[in-house]
Amino acid sequence: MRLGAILPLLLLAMLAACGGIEAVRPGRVEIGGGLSVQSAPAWNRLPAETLGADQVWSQDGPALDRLLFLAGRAEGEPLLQRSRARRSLQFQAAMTPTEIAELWASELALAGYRAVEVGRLQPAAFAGRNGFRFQYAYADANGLIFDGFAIGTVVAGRLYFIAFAGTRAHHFRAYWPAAMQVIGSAQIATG
Amino acid sequence: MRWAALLLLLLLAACGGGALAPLQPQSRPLQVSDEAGFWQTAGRTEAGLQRSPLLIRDQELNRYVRGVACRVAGPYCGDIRVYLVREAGLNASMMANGAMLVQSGLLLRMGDEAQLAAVIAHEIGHYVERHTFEKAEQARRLGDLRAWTVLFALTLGAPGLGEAAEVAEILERFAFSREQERAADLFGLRLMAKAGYPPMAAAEVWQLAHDVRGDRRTSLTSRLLATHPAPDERRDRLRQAAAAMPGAMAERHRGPYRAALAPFRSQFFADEVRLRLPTETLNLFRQLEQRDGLDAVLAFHWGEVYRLRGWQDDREMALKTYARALRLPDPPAETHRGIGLVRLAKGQTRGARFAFERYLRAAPAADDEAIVRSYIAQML
Repeated sequence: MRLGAILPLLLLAMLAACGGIEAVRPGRVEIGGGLSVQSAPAWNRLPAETLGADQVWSQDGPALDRLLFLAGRAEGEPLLQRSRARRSLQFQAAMTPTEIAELWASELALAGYRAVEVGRLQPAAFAGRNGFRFQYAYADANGLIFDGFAIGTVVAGRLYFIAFAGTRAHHFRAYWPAAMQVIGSAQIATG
Repeated sequence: MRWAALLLLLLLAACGGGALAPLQPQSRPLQVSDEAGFWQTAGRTEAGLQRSPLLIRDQELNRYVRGVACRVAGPYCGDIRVYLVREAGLNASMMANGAMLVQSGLLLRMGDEAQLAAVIAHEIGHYVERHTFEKAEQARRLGDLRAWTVLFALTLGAPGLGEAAEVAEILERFAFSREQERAADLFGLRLMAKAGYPPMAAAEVWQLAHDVRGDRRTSLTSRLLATHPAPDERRDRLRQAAAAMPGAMAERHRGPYRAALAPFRSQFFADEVRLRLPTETLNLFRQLEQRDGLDAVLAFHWGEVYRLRGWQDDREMALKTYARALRLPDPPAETHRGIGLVRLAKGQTRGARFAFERYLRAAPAADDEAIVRSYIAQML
């Protein structure tokens, strides 16, 4: 085989190894841990482990908008994988929604975001189960303000959670309907 | 021999620049100078800061802090602009052009106006003594010297000498930064005395930093690579220098400081608690209690630290601390919610329900009212 034929294959293999950004294919997407959602056009999946979530989707890049999925966090696991070392940031199955929202606020603060606010915590149905939702806001290192919305439920001691955040100036409002479409399609299959 | 040559070169470089003349009030660097470039960069950062969502824009608090800055700055009042930023932690900084950042975590830790004045005076010292530019000039000189030494070493066929020069350059940069901090400390003391504040307040600031940090032993490496001298060293030096200055009995303006800060304390405490550094936060709270006494807002957030940490006895400690908050005037309504959450975690559903009901009575318009009602409903 000539080098000219091998080179593109090698490049493709290298790109695949890099785990770059890829478009989310239309249809039902398995996030993991039994959580699945219906994808909608224009979402892109970021490399695995981005931001410590199970999956992160974005339309214009995670610096502007992000849809984070946590699929079945178990007792003793941190919400985001990067904070594994901190015992006080571990999810406990008996946590109330208030405590989960507090945990989320701490995750954001520890990620370096400032002026973190969480509010409007209330009961909500998620994936056909009783759950909770809340709003949040924070400022990033560049002083951009983000608005966020999170929804979750605890099933059999495991936390299923989706959070969408985007810049207050544009992305939150612009992609809110698309994010809600994904969130509204969530299903949890437990064994 | 080679080491001696290197050391000599380094010494020459360190001495080469000499201290810059202090800035005069209302003076600006020449437009064509290198220093003007630092001012322009700082100006751009300051413009961004003015639009920052982190800026605390409350007029009363800003007026108060700017008043303190003006008093301590004296003739430099018109050159200094103070920006209050919502961020946990004990920190303040000064840009080359006189724009000063003061973090909310610092405001929370200061006990009175004199201590705040001490920090501001120190930062003004950095401005007047042109430390940003001086540091850059020093870095340039050391960089030049290192490059020449590496070249020299290669010519001699002694690469080890070049590597040693690189290490020496790094160490010298940190040592220079520490020297600047010491110089700003002493400059600040003089400003304090002139403005009629007790200079000893500057030593108290570093006592507080030392106490919150704990009596941490640091390695030689971390001391050599520190940009600032250790808090205990600064405290001791300032204490010694302040003792020789007048103004020990000067007014500390504790009342006005506490009044200016009162509307923001709860938010600033919450920002500290959210970082989940329980040991440091509990140390801080103990310090504040010792210094200012316990009030309901402090007791509530103290209880929150225990509740969120969740170690073996923390639930009991949280309940005891919340109870102390409730015995003090004007406890936050959220104290009842905290009690409810702890009792719920302990399986004490009756007590939890009672506390949640009290929370909703104390804060009927709370934005988490629906979820708290759902907790109560689950207990019925």
